[in-house]
Amino acid sequence: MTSTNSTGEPALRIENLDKYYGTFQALRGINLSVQRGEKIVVCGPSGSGKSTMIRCINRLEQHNGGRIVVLGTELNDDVGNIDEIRREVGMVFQHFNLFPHMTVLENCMISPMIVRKQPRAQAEATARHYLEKVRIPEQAMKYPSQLSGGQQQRVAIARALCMQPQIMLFDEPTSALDPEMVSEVLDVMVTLASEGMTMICVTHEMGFARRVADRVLFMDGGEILEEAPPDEFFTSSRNERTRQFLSQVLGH
Amino acid sequence: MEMVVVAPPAPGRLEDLRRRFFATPLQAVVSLACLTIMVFLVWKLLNWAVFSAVFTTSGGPEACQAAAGACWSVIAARWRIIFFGLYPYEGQWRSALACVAVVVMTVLSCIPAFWTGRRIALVWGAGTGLFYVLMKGGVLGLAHVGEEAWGGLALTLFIFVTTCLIGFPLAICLALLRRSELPWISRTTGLIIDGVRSLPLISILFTFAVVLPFALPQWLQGDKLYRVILGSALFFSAYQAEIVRGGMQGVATGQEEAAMALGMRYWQRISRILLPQAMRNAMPATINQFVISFKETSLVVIVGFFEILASGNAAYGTGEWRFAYVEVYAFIAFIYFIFVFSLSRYGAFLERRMSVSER
Ligand SMILES: Nc1ncnc2c1ncn2[C@@H]1O[C@H](COP(=O)(O)OP(=O)(O)OP(=O)(O)O)[C@@H](O)[C@H]1O
Ligand SMILES: [Mg+2]
Repeated sequence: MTSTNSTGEPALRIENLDKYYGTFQALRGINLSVQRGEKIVVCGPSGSGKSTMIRCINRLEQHNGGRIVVLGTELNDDVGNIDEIRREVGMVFQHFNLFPHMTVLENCMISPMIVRKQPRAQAEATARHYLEKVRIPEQAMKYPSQLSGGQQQRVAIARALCMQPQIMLFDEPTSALDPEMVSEVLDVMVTLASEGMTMICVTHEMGFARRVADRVLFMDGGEILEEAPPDEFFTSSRNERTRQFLSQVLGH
Repeated sequence: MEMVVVAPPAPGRLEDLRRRFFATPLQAVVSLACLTIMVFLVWKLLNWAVFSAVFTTSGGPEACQAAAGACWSVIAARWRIIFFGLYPYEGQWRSALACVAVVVMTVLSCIPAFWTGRRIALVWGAGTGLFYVLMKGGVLGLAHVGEEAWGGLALTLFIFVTTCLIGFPLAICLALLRRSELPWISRTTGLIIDGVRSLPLISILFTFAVVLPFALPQWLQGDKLYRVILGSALFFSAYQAEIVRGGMQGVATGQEEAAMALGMRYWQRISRILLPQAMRNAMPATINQFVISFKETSLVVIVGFFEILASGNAAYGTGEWRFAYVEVYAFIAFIYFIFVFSLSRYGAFLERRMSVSER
């Protein structure tokens, strides 16, 4: 393994990242470095490449140029590296993507058991611990279809946490939810942030960004146009397109 | 999908009947006419099959033929041919036990508690092994009986079960190869599937039974029976592969992505996430395919095997029972019905069981 976890090594380092879909360039020369424990919020208009960027971090998309180093391991064609990184990086999707043929508990136990080879009892204890943490221990024996959207998303967060990842990626975790369920999911994410998890969140929940983000990134046209701490980002952004975007999301 | 049916206050039985069948005078007339016809037909059938039928062999074929009803004595006299074909008389208990072994194996592997890799392998290994030893003999003091003498129900069950045991995994492999990201793999697989599907089963059986021996070296040929089973498994798998592929297309792409993001490897994703959901989607079509291939086993007669239908022909075809073909076919139809109907009910059970976790 190429893990050289020297103290100065950031959790994530992206250098000159390019990504093409056919001839269409979705990412252009992205540079980003995330320290351990840092919380990054990514925003930007639809089609700006936010999903593409965070999906490159755990190789759901393959990049075409530049380097991605996660926890000291470079993402390349080495399958061993990809497996190692996926074990250490959790992801939460917009549409939950829970496994419908398994109960909530099984959803949380399967990966620790077959990927981390944990014994069943240990996997179950871990799963119950995290279900408690996302405040739905009583739903463990239900199937995903029997839960509300907000509950499903919290299960999805618990499922990712059961692998005990060092980095968590969120791709618009609340945008498929009814408004009254958004806060229950955000509360869980705020708690997670306060415990020191390294987080990269694509979201348009600017209140969440203000509360937990160390830095907010603004993307458009496959580029990072602006990168600043939240107070600076919301009050005195230099970029015209950022201001326009902010007036749209914050506006009314 | 959950359906909540709120029942209106239930009307009485009679009131319900009246509303459904006797609401208007015309409807009443039609209902009565249909009822009369049905009663008449059922009575005719019962009269033929039971009341005027002959069940014992004591009077011999002549008395039986003279009777007004069915002549079930032909079954009493010839059931051994129907069930065991040309299998030697003194060994037929082995053939019966072999049938039981296959049925028990099938029933066990239908029970969800046996659906772990090791248990299913054990059940199938033991079942087919037992069948083979019982039928073929040559060990444990059992007399040797060559495959050419196997027949009747035992042969039908054996061909069906082995066709499915070989064809099903093959179908899953073909379906997975077909969705490969490498175009030359997916195209070639598609070509094979479409090729096999565009040939009639009879021509495939014929090729494997008769033509293949000219093309293959002696040591690769095996007995004709196993070549025929391979051919029929290949045919089964081509259809089943498309059914499985259809099931896979019904699984959201997010499912595989979630599994990848959790660090699962290819085979873990396929076996734990993709296939269980795909098979659930494909369940009705799969049961259908099983039913079709059970009935298609009767085609092996053209390459010289006496499965149950051909054995039935032999049962009435010689000499004195020649007139009783309707009874023989009715009996064989009944046996087919038992197997196929159980299969369909099992499919319905599975669908109910799986609907719990439906989206
Ligand atoms: N699989 C794909 N094939 C081709 N083009 C794609 C694919 N996925 C994304 N794109 C394109 O890449 C660009 C960036 O897409 P991406 O999904 O990253 O945007 P996004 O910022 O996440 O948008 P949204 O806010 O709508 O989720 C878009 O123009 C999109 O059309
Ligand atoms: Mg997106």
